[in-house]
Amino acid sequence: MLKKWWTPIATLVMLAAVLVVATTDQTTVTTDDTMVMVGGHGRGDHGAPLHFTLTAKPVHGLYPGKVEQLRVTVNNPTGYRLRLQQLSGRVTWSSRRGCPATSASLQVRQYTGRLPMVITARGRTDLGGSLPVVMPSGTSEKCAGARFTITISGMGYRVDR
Amino acid sequence: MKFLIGAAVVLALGVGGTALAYAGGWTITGNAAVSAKVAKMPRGVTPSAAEQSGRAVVSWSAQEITDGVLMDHYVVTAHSVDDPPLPDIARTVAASGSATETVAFPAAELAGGRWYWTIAPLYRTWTGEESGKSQRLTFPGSPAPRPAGDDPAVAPTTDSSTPATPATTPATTAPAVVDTPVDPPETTPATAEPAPSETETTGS
Repeated sequence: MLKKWWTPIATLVMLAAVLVVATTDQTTVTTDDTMVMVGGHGRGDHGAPLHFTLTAKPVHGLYPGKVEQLRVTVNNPTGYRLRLQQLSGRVTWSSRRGCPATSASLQVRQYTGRLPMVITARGRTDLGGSLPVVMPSGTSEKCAGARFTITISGMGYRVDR
Repeated sequence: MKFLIGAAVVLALGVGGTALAYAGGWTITGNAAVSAKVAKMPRGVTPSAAEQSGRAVVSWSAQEITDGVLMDHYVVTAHSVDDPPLPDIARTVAASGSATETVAFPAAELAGGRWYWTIAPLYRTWTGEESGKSQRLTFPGSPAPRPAGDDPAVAPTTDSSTPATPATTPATTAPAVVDTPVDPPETTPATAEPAPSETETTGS
């Protein structure tokens, strides 16, 4: 009797798990020259991918006291308007052992522009603000010549027509 | 009772799954990575050293940590080539902002020794590698006693033809003699290096 009741329950649990996996399709592409962000949750009503991409140019020539503005472009390939709600960055990797990927070496400050920002369907927008990348004045000498990775995270919502 | 429990579980899963599907279709998130490169500290450019009015005048091309950003200081060091060698004389020089930096060492400090000079660029707390060696200069006389920890910070001159007067009044000595450099001059300056003002060489 017990087995009878748990069969549909187990089936529903499995379906829920499949749903979770299917809606968390994320891909990240990184090259030396461009930064591409892809975040998605399955496909839309007409089979079009529900994702947006971000691009930004890499930062060069950092030195103590230098502030570089990381400008980001949003590309919305979907057939829906996208409301970009959050954009942030943090330093996640350093090429030098003596120069850790911490705020003592390099900082990414809060996005300076206005959010939320609506990107039209199949539209592309250069965001007005930027993510300031700051090298503190007291950064260790061991950071000279180092290379960092800055991970950028974005979150938005699909806006109904 | 078992029926009620089962129904409650099914209802909860149904509601939860619907909510998850709804949220999943509306929220879009993701991560990405971009590289950030830090400038390297350059090696110092080989300075030129010349005797002028009984002093040693050391000149070198200004250096940049990155395009358009000049070093803020340089460490200029006089190295003795005597046997036994005299103590090094090091000076931290604030950059002038000009294309050529110059500093003078009074003969009183150099008397009785043969010397060559090197420079190392500084930016904030960062130090570049020491440059190659300049020409050698010989200053006759007896070595002057030097107080311990003598490392005065001096302002540089901006025109190699009119070097600033050093804080110490130079002693009256015979003209210095220029030696050939031990090492060939460096060939990797950011800009053209100043040509040595003296070309006469001796075997001393």
